[in-house]
Amino acid sequence: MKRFEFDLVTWSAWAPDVRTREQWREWARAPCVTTGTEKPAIPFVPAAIRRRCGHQDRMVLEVGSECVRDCREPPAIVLGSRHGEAQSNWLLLELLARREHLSPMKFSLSVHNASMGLLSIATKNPGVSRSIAAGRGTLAAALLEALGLLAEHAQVLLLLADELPPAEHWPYLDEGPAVYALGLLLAQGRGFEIEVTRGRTVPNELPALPLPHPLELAAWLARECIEDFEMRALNLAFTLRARLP
Amino acid sequence: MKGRGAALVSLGMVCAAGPDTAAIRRMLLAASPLPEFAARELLSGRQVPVGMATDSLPEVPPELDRYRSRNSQLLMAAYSQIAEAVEEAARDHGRDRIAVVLGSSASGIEEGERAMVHRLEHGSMPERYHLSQQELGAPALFLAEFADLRGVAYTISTACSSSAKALACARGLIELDLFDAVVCGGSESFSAMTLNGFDSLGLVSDERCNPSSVNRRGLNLGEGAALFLMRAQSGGIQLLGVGETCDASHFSAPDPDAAGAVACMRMALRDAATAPEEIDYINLHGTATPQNDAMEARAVHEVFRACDGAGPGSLPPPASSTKPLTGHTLGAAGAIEAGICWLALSAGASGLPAHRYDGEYDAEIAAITLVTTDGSTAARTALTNSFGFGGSNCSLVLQAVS
Repeated sequence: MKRFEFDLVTWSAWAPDVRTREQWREWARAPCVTTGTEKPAIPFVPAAIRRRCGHQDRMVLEVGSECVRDCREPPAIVLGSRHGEAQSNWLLLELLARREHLSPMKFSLSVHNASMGLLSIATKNPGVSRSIAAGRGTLAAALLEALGLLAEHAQVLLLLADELPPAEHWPYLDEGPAVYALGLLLAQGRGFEIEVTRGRTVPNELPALPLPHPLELAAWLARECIEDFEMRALNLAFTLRARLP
Repeated sequence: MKGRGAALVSLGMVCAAGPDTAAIRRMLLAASPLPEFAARELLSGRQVPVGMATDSLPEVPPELDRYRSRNSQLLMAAYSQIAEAVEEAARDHGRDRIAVVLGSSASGIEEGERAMVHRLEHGSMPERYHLSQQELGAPALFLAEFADLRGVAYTISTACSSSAKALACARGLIELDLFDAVVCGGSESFSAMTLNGFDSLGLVSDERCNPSSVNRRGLNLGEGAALFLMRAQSGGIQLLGVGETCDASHFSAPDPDAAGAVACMRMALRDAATAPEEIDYINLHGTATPQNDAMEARAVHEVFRACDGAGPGSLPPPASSTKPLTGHTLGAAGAIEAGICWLALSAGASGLPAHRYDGEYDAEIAAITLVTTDGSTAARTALTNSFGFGGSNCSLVLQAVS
């Protein structure tokens, strides 16, 4: 077993119809998959960037900007997203199948790191940024990356986000689908601990998840981190715990 | 070297330059003929060369059919070259101490392309389609299952810097001391969507790419995979330094000021505790687009100019773009080019990888030293650059430690 420590400076989450802390607290009483088409307005983002933004981009800009609002130095960024820019990829595939020309802007913003790139432009962050996917283990992988970066960076912005994948993809999913962005600004410190132990998780033998891990984490944060947060993924078991002040 | 060391002990590769490391090593010589590139037709009707890997690839086993894709096949071809070294690590540490971290920009998107054509014709997804064929996390999850590795498995996807960052992440995992070995690298398979996407940006050349030349007309796409076994040990060829920056300016074009690329190389050198004059070879991102080559030459000149004129024999280090041999393999490029550096640093290397172009250096871009003939120069330390959409930059420093 390995134990890691960190501080949670702040967190922010955004999903259709669940926007404020109060709404997240309410949602966390009976957490359910967040869906819908509502998008954050992101008025603070320059119009030139804003008009290029897809659903995930807008949510990432919303929670990412909120988390770094009081940062003096830009943090390193880790984005965990299972499906990435699912909607623009679907649209591009349709255009291609119809042999219609692809829009250069849509194409360049179809990459998995698009929302992170837009956030780094909007928040003028020239630092380290990594975007990650690992199926239903995406949160676990992103968390390990964030812990690794915290050894060398004072602060790490951990982002988890997904937009709604096309309905044609739903039959293949073992969780969700859900629409959300969650941001945690982590810092070196001792306010929280994570225990990581080995625990084989055999793919295909796992039951479907009612809630994707990032939404479980959002529920835990909204409930003020009272009990331990437990998660099993990618052959590891994680326990997150807030230490008493 | 970081605390535990991050030795790149074994390498497997497949790309247009060859089906394995032995063939690719021969292709790096200035005197060798250029590998054949295939012709592919764009939506516009234009024919362009693409660096395709061999079609003799292993078949995905039936029990992993949900991951069936050319991308998975490329990974299997590269993995077969390092499987023995991985088994040795598994005997030493156990399979649960071996992680998998791969980079890919589009995973098996070509399966999504086929499925969409089927859907438009028949109104439903094909029977053998599975989202796992094209999910971004799939490359690492597939390989971990295929090779029965029981550590974590995930994919980094930051466009053209993906697999360079995957090597950086692998070293980070070793530093966390949760794993003793990591299978790391990347893969990218040919996709019509990517080819036409790059064409929409006006970046695809009709001819073999011609990096640093005044006549350069853009890039060729390519496909391939490169896998390293990284082990927590000193000695051998170390991943000694990592630099990662973000341009934070334009999304799909490099920053002409090159500030992000300069900072990236400097960060890698600092992390490696290596002075610029200790670098013996630079593998350029060198896509042969007008903007990239101008920006990168400027950045290399800026970082290494201190070497210039510092004394006899202390010229900026020789550099080359190996994209004329491989095409631009996007998410796999960082690992393939780190692999090319690894071959140049290995015992028995016969000179530095050659910069294959028409010899007409663009006088409008900053002056850098290109490797144009086979020399007997033994290289000890190499730096490789990868720059991607989203302004995502990554530089790696590799060093042969005796």
